[in-house]
Amino acid sequence: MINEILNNAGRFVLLILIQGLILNDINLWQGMAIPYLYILFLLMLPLDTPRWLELILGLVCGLAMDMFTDTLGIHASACVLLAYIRPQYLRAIAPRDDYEFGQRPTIGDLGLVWYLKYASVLILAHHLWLFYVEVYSFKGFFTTLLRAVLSSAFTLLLVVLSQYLVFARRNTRYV
Amino acid sequence: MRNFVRFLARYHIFLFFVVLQVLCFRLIIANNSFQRASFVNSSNRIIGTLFTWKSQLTEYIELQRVNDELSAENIELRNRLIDNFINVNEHFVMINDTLRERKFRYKTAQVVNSSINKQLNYLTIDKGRDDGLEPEMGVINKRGLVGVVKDVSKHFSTVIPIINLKYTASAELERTGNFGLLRWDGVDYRYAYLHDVPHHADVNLGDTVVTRGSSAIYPRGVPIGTVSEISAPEGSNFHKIQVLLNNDFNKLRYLYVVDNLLKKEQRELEEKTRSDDQ
Repeated sequence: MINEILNNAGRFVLLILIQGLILNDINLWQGMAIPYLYILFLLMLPLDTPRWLELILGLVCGLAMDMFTDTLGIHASACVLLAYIRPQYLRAIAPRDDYEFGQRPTIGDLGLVWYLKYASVLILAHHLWLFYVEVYSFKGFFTTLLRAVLSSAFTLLLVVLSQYLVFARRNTRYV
Repeated sequence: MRNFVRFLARYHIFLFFVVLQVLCFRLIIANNSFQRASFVNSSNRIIGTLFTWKSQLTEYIELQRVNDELSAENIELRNRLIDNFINVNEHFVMINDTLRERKFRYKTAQVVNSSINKQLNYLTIDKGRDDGLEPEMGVINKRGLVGVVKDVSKHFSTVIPIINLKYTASAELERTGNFGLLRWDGVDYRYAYLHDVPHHADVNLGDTVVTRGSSAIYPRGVPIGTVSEISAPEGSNFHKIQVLLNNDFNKLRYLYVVDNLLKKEQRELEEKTRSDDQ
């Protein structure tokens, strides 16, 4: 339990720093695609996280990011949305005999196909919300849509890669 | 009452979610006001320090270009030294110049963090309240207009650059004096748009666009960019003028913060006139 909390706290700090200091500077096609890898923190929370706690963690995670980008509330709002829909979506895509005890939402534990289904929808939801709230209007609807979709693809790529590169070794212990 | 309790018990997570979203949107909307007293932004001490470390690391890569620019500027300033001029007539040399009063004072600052890929881009600079900076001071550099100071902390300040959807400035065409509103459209960080210039105004490609100095934030005539495209939207009485910005916001490092010493006086006078009208 303590281990789990420390792991998540460490992941939180690491991801926020990577995002705030490195990834926010990435600029492909005049800002059409920006990866927001930091939401991996929310995606990797344990399956049995209490929902109220998950919402609070979403808020904290978003506010931390807002401090780096000077956009008070925008990331927070998108992260709270992500934290709200994640448990419901997890239930919807559960394997036939539900999740096993101790399973974690990673490629190592639940397989690549399941993970793509899991991550792509949640990332897209977060990004759509984020980009439309950032622009704060439906002017240029399709440009914003394109930005959200391209950025989602970019984020998904990094999320999946990070699973193989960084978190893979730790996962095999549980398989 | 029991139904109400049951309703709460059933939907408490959803209600909590709604409460948090309302909180977030209140923050977002409060964030829109210009003189917000904020502590959760990158002029915050910790984040500012992190960004300073980062810029110290990346400074290396830029050194060559920055040196070139600084030395070019040094030469330009050196050429203006008083030693380079001779007195035409001894009788006209005044020690205490009472004909002019200083209006603008400049302070240098360095960019420690910036973004160009968002709709709401900001810069963080390494000078703050301790160095005499205040919100709504203008920010320029050698090449031209950069933006305006937004929030100030003890050691850092955040700047709204031209390439932020919330930024507007009054600008004019240097050749003809027609003025309009400068705004970014959120697409390309190299271009901004000059709105509200009437059709009958004579605009050519390549015309220089400069600040108008009406808002008492910038001096008049600070270069902004050059006209790169002129279009006339149907049913509108105004040109839509695309301006190629002089500044490459991807490469900003050394900036000057402009302090208008007469700003308060101008603002108070304008305020008085306006309130007399009503």
